[in-house]
Formats: sequence, structure tokens, C-alpha cells
Amino acid sequence: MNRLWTLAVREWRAHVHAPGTWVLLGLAWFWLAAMYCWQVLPASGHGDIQYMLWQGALHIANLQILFIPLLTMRTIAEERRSGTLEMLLTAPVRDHEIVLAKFLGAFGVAALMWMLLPFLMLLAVMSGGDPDWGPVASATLALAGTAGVLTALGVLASALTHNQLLAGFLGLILSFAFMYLPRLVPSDWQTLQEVLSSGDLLQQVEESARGIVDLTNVAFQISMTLLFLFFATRSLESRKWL
Amino acid sequence: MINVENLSKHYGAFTALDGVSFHVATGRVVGFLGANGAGKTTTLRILSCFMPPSAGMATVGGFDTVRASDDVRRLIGYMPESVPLYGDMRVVEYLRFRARLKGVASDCVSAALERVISQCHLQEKRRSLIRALSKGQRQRVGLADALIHDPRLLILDEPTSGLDPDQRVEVRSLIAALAGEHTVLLSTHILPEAEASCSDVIIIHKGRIAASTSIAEVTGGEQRWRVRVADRDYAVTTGASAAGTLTRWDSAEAASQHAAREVSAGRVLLEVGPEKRTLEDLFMSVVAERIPTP
Repeated sequence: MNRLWTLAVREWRAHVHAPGTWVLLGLAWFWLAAMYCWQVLPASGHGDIQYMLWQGALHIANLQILFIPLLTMRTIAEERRSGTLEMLLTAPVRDHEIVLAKFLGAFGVAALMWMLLPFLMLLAVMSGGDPDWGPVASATLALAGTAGVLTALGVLASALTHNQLLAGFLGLILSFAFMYLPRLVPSDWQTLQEVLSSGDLLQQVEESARGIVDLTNVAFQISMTLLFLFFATRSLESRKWL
Repeated sequence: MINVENLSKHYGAFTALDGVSFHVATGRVVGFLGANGAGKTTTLRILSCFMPPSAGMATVGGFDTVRASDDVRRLIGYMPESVPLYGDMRVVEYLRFRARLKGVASDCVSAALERVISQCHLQEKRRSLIRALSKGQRQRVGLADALIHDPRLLILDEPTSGLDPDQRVEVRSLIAALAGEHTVLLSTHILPEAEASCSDVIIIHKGRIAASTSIAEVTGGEQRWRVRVADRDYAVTTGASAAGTLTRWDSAEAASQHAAREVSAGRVLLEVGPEKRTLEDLFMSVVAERIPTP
């Protein structure tokens, strides 16, 4: 546990000290503020807080699809390229601890995205609004779950290659596919559409923004996160099979 | 401390190690010698638990490198050849991170830091960013990292590669100071360096152990005799001691007979005397024996 904490803190600090992280976050925050001011607020009639919450959650979920793969692309790929992975793996550290620490460090930074939702609602309160905090909490939880899945997927993409740009590209494709595939399947393929829609993360975020907390959705998000982290660990272990 | 039996490693069709076996006793400083591509780094990576062998087994301190790799990794301090470090960290911050990772108790971390910083002469660079350090300074940080948890076995892959001559001497004397308390296995292809720092040598060639012996045995073994002669005019005009023709003989008698023949033929005898065998002689002889003749 101590080693995991040491590794996770090191990972989080590496993200926080990297200028690229703040460039990405700055762009994401600017985009969100712009969408909010020019699209969400006018459409809500400057008063429908439920609409603001729903749209805010969806915008943050969509931004996470772009932000998180670019954040996670260097996690393992860069360690492989620079050789520091050899230093980590020859210390008394297990492979799954490295993967979990990479995940926790990136997830800690990704929190600066999904924690924006309660922050936006606080701004609404300061402007005289009175949001229902139940849906705010459930939507924040759903965004955190989505961030968890996307972070694990990004770490997996990073574990598959030495090249962090390739890892970023792969992470973007996988994240986009995971989030949008349920919505891109033609309507005549009903069975496939039904199967995929049960794992539609955007749908889950929308439901949560209406105050619905479905434990099946939470279980799905945790399972997917653990599954992708398991695959990332196996990918790291692949050096032993060569 | 180290016991290696029939170790093999294949990368696809390429065989990097082919039935390697050797033993390293506790407290010895052992040079692991070989040309580039001989299998040195692969062996060290297996011993440091970075990768498993394809066949055979290796134990360190009685622990199997595959089945008890956690125990092995606690016993060893490993420094890879390229010394990969986190450039965005400061020296002291990096060493503290590595100490915690290697399980140094919280109340002992500061003392361990001071010890390795002093041992590796990093006092002036303790607050420097690693990316701003020179190659030699990075090498010393890598060595400090390998030493931070006071390991019983140090595995150093080319510890002096890329260093200035004075830095090499520093690293050599540090390694010599570690002998006794620690067992050291260091790979190098710089033979005089191994001769100066090591008590034993293992020579690997094309994935097989070609020789395993002590330095004392190599240099204290049977002597050869050298005879240097030159034409009279050439020797007088140049006066250079390295001039003339040098021949080596297995016995004093053969050398003196050759010298007498040369002198009676009108040549000048510049030098005659015993010559110590060097590690280079051993290396060249075992490697040459295994080079197929065309």
C-alpha cells in the first residue's frame, strides 16, 4: 500500500508539473466556459438549472473523451521509451501496482475535469439559483465513473506501445469507440443496439443528471475500469513471455 | 550469493544465452566480461528479475529470480547501462522516492539519503534537476539509487561507460570500497578496469561462459618472457624503447636462446625480461579459441 501510494503521488506530481497538462486543462476549461456562456445559458432561458446540469454533465463527459487519452498517453509508453520502466520493475514493485499507480495519478488530475460540475452549480448558487443537489451528486458520480473507465482505457493504450503519440491516438480511438459505438449502430441491428446501449456511458451520465442512481451502471463502470487495468497489467507482463 | 544453472534466453529464433552456468560467492567483486552482444545485459536483466529466462534457473541469496522475485529485488541494487532517471525530479527528491519504493523505513530515509549522497559525491548537486546533470553526474545518481537500501548484491551494467578518466577512477574506488560488505557483479568490456576493480572475472562469449576465474589466477599464473631487439643503426638514432621487434616466449630458456641468436647476428638487444599475463591475454585467448577459422 505504501509503495502504491509512493508511486501514485509521483505520477500525480509528474502530471501536475508537466506544462502540457495545464495547456490541455486550460483548453478544456475555456471550451466548457464558452459552450456554457454561448449555448447552455441562453438555451436554458438563464434560469433552468436542471437543463444547465444536464448539458453541463454531457459537455464535461464529451470533453473527457478528448482530454483523458491525451493525459494518459505518456503514463507507461514514456516509461518504456526512456527506460525508466526497467528501474521500476527491478525495484520490489509488482506490475499491477505500477498500473494502478499510473491510473490513480491520472485519475487525480482528471478530477479537475469532472469536479467542474459541482463548481458550475456553486456558481449558479452564487448567481441566486437553487439547484437540487441530489442530481448534482449523482451526475458528478457518473462523470467520475466515466473518467475512471476512460483513464483505465488510456493507461491500457499507453501500455500497448513505446510511442506516446501512438498511445494518445490509440486511446482517442478506443475512447471515442467506447463512448459512441452504442449510438452509431444502425437502428435495424436491434439486438446489437440493445446490448451496446446497456453500456452507453453518455446515456448513463444523462440518467444520472436527472437524479437516477442505477447501481447496475456503477457496477458496469467499476467492472470496465478493472477490466482495462487488468489488460494493461497483462500487457506490462508481456515482457516475460517474449 | 548468485547461483546460475543452465540459463538460456531466446528472442524468437535468436539465442542470447545458451546454457549459462556460474557461481558468485558472497563479498566478491566480479567482473562480467564480454564483447557487445555477448549476453551480458540479458544475464543481468534476468538476475535483476526484469525478465525471466527461457530455460534454466538463477538464484540470488537463495531466492529464485522467477518464483521469489520480490525477495530477490529487495536484496539487489541494480544500475542499468543507460541509467534511466526521471529528468523532472531533483536529485534528493528522486533518491527519496526510490528509498520509499525499496522499502527503506520512513525514519531511516534521511540517513540513507545522506549516506549515498556522501558516498557518490553528490553534495553539490542534491537540489539540481536530474535533466540538468552531466552524464557522469547521472551515473553517480544511478549508483546512489542502487545503494540507497544498502543491498547485499549490487548489479552494475557498464558502471563507468561514458565517464571521464577521473570519474572512472572515482567509481572504481567506490566499488572497491563496497567490496566485503556487498557482493558486486559488474559488466564491462573495458578489461584493464575489470582487472583493477574485480577479484574475479566471468567471460561470456556468444551466449556461453567462456571462462570463470580469479584475477589473481590470471595475473599470477605462468609467466611469459619478452625479448625486444632492433637493428643497430635504428636503435642508436631513435633511442626509442618501443622500437624494434618484440617477441614473446613461454620459458626463460627459449627467450635467452632467442636473445643470444639475435645478438650474434649483430642486432641490439633492447629488452629482455618476464611479462605478467593480463586479463586481456586471457580474454583474447578464450574469445579467439571460439572464433571459427574461415
